[in-house]
Amino acid sequence: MQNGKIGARLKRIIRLHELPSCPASWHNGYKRQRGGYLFSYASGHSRKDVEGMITERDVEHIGMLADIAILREELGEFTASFNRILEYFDILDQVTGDETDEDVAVNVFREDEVVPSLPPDDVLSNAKETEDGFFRAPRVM
Amino acid sequence: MAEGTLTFSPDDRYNAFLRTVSPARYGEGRLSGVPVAVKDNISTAGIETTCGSRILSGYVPPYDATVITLLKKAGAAIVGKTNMDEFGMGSTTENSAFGPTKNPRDETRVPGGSSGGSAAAVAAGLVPLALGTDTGGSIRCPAAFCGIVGLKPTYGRVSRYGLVAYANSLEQIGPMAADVAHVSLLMSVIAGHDPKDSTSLDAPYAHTPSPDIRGTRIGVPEEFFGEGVDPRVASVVWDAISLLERKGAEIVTCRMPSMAYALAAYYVTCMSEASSNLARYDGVRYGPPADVRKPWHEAFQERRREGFGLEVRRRIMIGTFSLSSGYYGKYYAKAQAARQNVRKDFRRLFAEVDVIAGPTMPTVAFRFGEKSDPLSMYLSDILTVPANLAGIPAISVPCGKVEGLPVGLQIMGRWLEDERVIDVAYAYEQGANP
Amino acid sequence: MNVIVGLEIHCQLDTKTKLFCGCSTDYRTDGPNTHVCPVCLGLPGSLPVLNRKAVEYALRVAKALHCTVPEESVFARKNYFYPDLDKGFQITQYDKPLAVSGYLDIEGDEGEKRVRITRVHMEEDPGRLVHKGGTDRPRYSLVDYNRAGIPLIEIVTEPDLRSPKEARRFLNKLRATLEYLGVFDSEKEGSLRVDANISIEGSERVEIKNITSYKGVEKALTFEVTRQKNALRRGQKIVRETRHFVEARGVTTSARSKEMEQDYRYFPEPDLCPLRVADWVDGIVLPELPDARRQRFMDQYGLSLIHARTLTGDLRLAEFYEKVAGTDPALAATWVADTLLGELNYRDMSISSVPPDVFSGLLSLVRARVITDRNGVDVLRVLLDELKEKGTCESPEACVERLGLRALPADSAGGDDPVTKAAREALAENPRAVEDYQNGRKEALNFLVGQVMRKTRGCAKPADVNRVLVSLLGKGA
Ligand SMILES: [Zn+2]
Repeated sequence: MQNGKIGARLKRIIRLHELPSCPASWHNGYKRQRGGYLFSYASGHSRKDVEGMITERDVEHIGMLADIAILREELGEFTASFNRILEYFDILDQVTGDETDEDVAVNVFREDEVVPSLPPDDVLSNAKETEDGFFRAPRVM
Repeated sequence: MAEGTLTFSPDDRYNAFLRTVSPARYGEGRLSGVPVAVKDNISTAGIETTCGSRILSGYVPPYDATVITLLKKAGAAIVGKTNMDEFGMGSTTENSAFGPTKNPRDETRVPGGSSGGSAAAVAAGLVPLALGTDTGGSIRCPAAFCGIVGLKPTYGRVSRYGLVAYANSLEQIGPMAADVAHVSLLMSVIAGHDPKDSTSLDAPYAHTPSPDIRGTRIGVPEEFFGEGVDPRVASVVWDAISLLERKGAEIVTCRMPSMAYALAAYYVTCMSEASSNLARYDGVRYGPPADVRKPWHEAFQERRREGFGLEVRRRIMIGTFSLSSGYYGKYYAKAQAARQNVRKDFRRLFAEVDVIAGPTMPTVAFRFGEKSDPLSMYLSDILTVPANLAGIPAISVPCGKVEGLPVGLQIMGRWLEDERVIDVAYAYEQGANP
Repeated sequence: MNVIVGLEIHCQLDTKTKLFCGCSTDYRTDGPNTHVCPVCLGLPGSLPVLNRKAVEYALRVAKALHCTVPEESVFARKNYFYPDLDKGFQITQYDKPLAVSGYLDIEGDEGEKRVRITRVHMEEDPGRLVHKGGTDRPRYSLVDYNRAGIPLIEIVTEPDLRSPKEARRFLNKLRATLEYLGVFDSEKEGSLRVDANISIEGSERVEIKNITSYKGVEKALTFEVTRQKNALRRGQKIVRETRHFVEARGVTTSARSKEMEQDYRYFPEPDLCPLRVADWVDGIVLPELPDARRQRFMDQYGLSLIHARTLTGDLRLAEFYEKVAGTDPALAATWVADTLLGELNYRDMSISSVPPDVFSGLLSLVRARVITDRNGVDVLRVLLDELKEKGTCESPEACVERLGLRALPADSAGGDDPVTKAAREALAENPRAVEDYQNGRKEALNFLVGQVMRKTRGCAKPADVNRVLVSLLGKGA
């Protein structure tokens, strides 16, 4: 904390954003990305070749895990952006401390009292596939 | 005014609205007959609610969000649902499945996001009041870009019941209007405890803005003026801070080291939560149906590929990855630790100062297509996400222009001190427009 | 080859409303999707709010199972995609469960045994799927979300059980305990589901998923023990896998390996607050539990250990017994434990379908020797059949009169009572037996008693018949 008259402080601050070495390390990832080297790895490298790199096969696997289909032609763009973004996230490796939140609210309840359910028409009105009051879904087996 | 209906037929040349309601009904109360625009991720009974996504097209909620119930009780007329980045995922409103919204201040530029439709509707004078939602700056960014006022309330102060979840632990519904007094008025209608939201706080808002900020200590973190912040924007914001000093506030520069990883912490958290929140869109209960002739997983994967835009799918997949076994510790757990450090930083700062000020956005409104690289778009949120990570109130108030485009001054306050944030913004507004 | 079994038991808590919304849990007789709201239907924007009663119930269980309740427990999302899951995730508890490290004492294969409880946590039930289009290849599924959001507790044991029978005993004891606690109703269909882990010592562990009945657990485990032992005898290896129990065929079948690779991506549920309820535990006053009641039945009613254990092994049975114990606790115990239970079982009926006053009436008739024991059983059968068919029955007295089963008198001075008459007839018709008897073959008397009983349609008391026959034979009639 520093106190002082506004003129001096203004000067100080202007100096801050004139100097690229100011403490804002949050743009580390941004700088690296601008260097363009993220694109310098040709596809075909496995993760073992370049440590931490996500391959197209990894992206396909993540798509499976997330239950999202990926079109062949989308794979390259997803792979490239995943790598840029995850590389930016690497900055979290520097974080110390734990995740416990001391001042969070606890014990929020409702009483065990019945509240009317939705009218049947409202329940099914948004579903396109219904049968005898049931929703219809693709087969699971 | 008594009960009635009003005709709402705006000249929506900026594509601010996804749909309008006309005639719109209104009742008696403080907002009787006042048209209010509502972001399309807030559930409105009987009015389609799509979150700007194809996956929810045709979905008509059978219930009102708590804020809508409160608005109706106050007599307001819900006149339409505004455009947004799909599920709130974006800072430009270009990610809407229904076409982008234009910035009324410059049609070649984005209105900001994700509450771009609400901001544009207010900026274009189509409505006096609008609801937005703010997960990492989604109220403040478009407010800044469109030259209006937008408040992200303290987390828990406004009920999230009926807000379609994107990142539950970060987001809040908040008021948007052309000036601070209207933002304050709308806040007084929507704030308050809601037993339907377990994270809701019992802290109603009944405040009249006061421009007297003598003795208020304003902290200015150096990081808010670091690299990446357009020096012209920084300069305009500093002028605004100087004005506050002339009004009797005391300015204190300070540091916020956790800013180094706040953005990464924010994106890991919101993507993780989103990956889970968006799993329910299977087409069984609402939305375009999955193909019931196909096996479940195949139908579901196709449904999601077709229904979600590129950025939504990207965030779901990265969020899924960062929660997956083997990566949880590296990403999600670290992000939560980082989040605690952000909170600690604020706690430390707020022991010394009453509010924290800086620019809302590092630049003025982008041109369309300027942020096509996702990471560069993410980086533009760096100044707004800390308030969401800490759950504290933050407001953006117009504070000048750069090359004719609006710049927003951001004021962040202590937890539950939305009133003080409003007062400082009001003091600036009154001082700048005497 | 030692068998090692651990169980994961899911029980529905008997609250009035669901775990996170106010929808009624009383859905079983209503049509599909009639007990749903934005919350349990997973509509966009809805939020969960925790049912306080469900937490109280779960803590009762934790206390009864001697668990430790940690300072803080947290709800988490278990993410997986299935159409019965309205939100695409299940709200459950993961790394911070409600309660840990407890135990339950049971009657094991080798006497009293302590089964350790790993954890007890709370979670929501998913919806219900109905497969359409035949069992081999359903064309699509129908979904009913009435069950979605019903509060469950999951109780996980250590691998302390050593046989399918022990597993069954554990389940019975657990069920009784939960019912005594007033938090669970075992008669509600689908209120209990079990996953069982089973291995032969030294081999890989197999998980059997989703067994939905008490008997099913023993059957599934017995099948698995045989299957695994046979495989080992043939020199095969047991593969670590998940198997499904096919109740209809009594076998387990291998589930696709994909299910094992599930990555549930647990993380704390951001819409719910952590629980800090450890200090509630001291305030919970537990009701009398099965072990205590068993001891009391022995002390208060003078019952044998076996009768006391049987009668306290089920809450409704214990309460039923106490209602009918009346003036003759020993007679009531024999009739309830040895006769009634068997007859109910045979008819697949539950004790709650028997009005205690009807049964008491029957006991009084038996005790006053208005009917014989044998005809008492017949009357009981008739009454149970009526109850099963109509839900009501005539009074035991009316039944006795209608069927003419009132016990016959056998003490008239002139020898013209029906028992003496029947005895005379029997002697006259069976001279060979009489001769045998008089030649010292005492078992001939049994034959003659049987003849008299038949003639009197069981209405003669066996003791009377004996006495009269011996007397007549003694007179050399
Ligand atoms: Zn419900």
